Amino acid sequence: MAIDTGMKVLVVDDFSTMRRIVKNILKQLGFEKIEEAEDGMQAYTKLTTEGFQFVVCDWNMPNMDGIDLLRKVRSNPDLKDLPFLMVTAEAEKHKVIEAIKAGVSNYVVKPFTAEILKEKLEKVFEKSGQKG
Amino acid sequence: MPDDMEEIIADFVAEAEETLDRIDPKLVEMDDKGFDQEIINDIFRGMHTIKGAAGFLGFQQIVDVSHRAETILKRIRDKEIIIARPLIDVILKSFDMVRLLLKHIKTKGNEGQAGADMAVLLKELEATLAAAQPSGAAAPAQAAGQKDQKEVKARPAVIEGPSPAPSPAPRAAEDAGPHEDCHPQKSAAVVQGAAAQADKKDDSIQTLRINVEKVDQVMNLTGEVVLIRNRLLNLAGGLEQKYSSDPQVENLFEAVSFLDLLTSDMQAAVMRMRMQPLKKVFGKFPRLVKELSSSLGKEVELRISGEQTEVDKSVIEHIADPMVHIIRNALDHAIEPSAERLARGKPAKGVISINASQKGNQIVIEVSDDGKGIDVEKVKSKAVQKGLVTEAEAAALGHDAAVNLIFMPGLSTNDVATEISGRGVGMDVVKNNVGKLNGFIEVITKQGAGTTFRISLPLTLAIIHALLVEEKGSVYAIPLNLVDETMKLSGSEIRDLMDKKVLNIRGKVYPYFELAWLLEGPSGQSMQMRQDGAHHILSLGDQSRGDMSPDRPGGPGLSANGQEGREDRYIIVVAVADTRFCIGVGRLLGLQEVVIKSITGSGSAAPSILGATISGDGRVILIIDLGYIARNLFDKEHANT
Repeated sequence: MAIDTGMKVLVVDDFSTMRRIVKNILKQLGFEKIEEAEDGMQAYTKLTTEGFQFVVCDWNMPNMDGIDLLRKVRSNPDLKDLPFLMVTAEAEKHKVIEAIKAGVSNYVVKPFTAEILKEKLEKVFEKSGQKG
Repeated sequence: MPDDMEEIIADFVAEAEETLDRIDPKLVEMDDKGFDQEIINDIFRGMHTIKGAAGFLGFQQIVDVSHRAETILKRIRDKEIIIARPLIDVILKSFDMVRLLLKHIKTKGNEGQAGADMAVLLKELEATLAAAQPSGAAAPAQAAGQKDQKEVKARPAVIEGPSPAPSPAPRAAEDAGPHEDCHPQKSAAVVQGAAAQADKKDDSIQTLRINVEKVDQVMNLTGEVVLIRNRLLNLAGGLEQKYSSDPQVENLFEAVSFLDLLTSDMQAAVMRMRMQPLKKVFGKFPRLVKELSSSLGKEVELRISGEQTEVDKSVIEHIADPMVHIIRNALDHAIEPSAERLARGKPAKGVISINASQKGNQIVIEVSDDGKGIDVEKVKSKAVQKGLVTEAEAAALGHDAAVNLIFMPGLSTNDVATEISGRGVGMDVVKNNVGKLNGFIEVITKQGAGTTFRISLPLTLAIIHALLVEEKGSVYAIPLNLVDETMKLSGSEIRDLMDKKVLNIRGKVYPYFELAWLLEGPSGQSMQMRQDGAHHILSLGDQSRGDMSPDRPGGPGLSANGQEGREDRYIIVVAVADTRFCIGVGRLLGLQEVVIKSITGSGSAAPSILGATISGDGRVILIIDLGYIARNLFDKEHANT
């Protein structure tokens, strides 16, 4: 079952090169509607006003980091089921349990390839598909 | 990606330089003002981000330096060590090194070799961190630290001596130890030697030769872990529903969820261990083509692309023979002699192209020639002549169906069997071999212009994503990569068209089959019986599994829809190569990652069964071989037309 690549994706990272890289990988997988946010704060505003079907979010960011954004998203009734993929560094792997507690859909360790991201996406949408 | 790559790299260099320019003065500021949580967070984040992006872009030296600098920054940030001048110095040096590497990227397009300076810096970073003062450390520790420093200062003198003692000296240098006060330039020669040695050692441990059996053992164990993970998920899910307020149950559920994610990663990692580039197979084709073409007196150019595509080891082992056969056929029958080619307005030299690529979960290998193409009429008459189809049947076949006759056993359009491709043995064997790898083969041919054989293979043979369905009380798994969509069936949509059931979906008509009907083997023995047999064999090893099933009749991931009306049926739209058809099933139970276990023993499975797996709740589930069914349907259709 192919992932719906027509969905709107938000890429959250404070480093613009990283956003470009992630966007590029998403494009390789066929996604077209990709928007960016520089930190959790900006992302949350976008999520609540513009409507997205998927979030790829970095952990480390100024103002509002990834985990705080995740918690905020999950506590919003409109966004509580939004598929949310956290990007972590190798060294942050132990924090994944924290992210699971906060309701993350899955995580991916950087650097990652298009294939790895695809595997993760499949997992994420498999799960959300099951729920629905 | 490659198109945008240069731009992305340019962006990266610019942004990384900007970041360094921003955090550099902050570090200096902290040197004056002392520890500041905000500032250190910012510096850490900057270094961390540069490392992350460099990792994506493959700038390993930047990753190496920034990783070590980041580690120091992290420990300062987490107040594990006290910020001090030597730490700040070495981090500033790291910034400079990253700047240098960025400059190389800007001017040369790659990181270049920072070589000895790099080795020295990496050592220094590690040593400085090792010597850093733990925060809240008591006075004696501090004293010990100072003693260390003295020792280090003494060390170079020892090593620079005329004939270094064979044993302790090099070791001491390699251990490096804390030498925060010594200038790298002074000790460079000494440390360099050791570092070079260390580098060499690092290179040798980059790759390991491991017996395949050991990898397979890990693969099998991973498979078992996946099965247990599925059961744990199921059990934890049940507990969570029952005791949702119990924090211990909640913790258990979280731990199992983490295990779930980790197991998937582990699976993918192990799978990658078994992957090898197709180059191993393609590598022998140039010689094959050269030898054959010269013995046939034909001029042929071989073009190979995508040979870096990685596939499972078992594919490497089994794909060579079918490919050799296709290539031989192309050389022997398809590519015309030069004179004939020229007469037809083609270049004198024929071309055979081999291309491999990964498309989603599939590996696609294409072998194309620019020869004469398959003469469909000739194939038809040959098939009639051999008694494979009747004249009426042949006449009714469309172009694609007629081309596919070449895969029938016993058909060869070659009037004179040559030494090269043999007599009639061939394409049916090729098709079977590809089928054994759970793949399928298609032919695209145009008379006069050439033929392409397209082989599609699954990425891995051991673990598949499956859609679990229920039909007449039994649960089956359907490989998800071949499922296009699923929907609820409301009786009126099925129509009869020329004695066949068809389904109209959004204006397109698809053949429709009931799963139970598809699983009925040629012998007429129902799959139900076979499944019981398989269940019996597989449950021998673990008696408890049989007891697991009755309490959860719905199986894993039971959807709410499934429980409503029993009379409702569901449709699965399946796409195998260019064949699309619908399967009707009783219920959709959900998705699961399943490990394929082959069924062995007296009750061995019907051909339409790929294997079996054990579900989260301990039930044995048969995995349906859609490839086989699609091929079989196709053959049946021939018989019927």
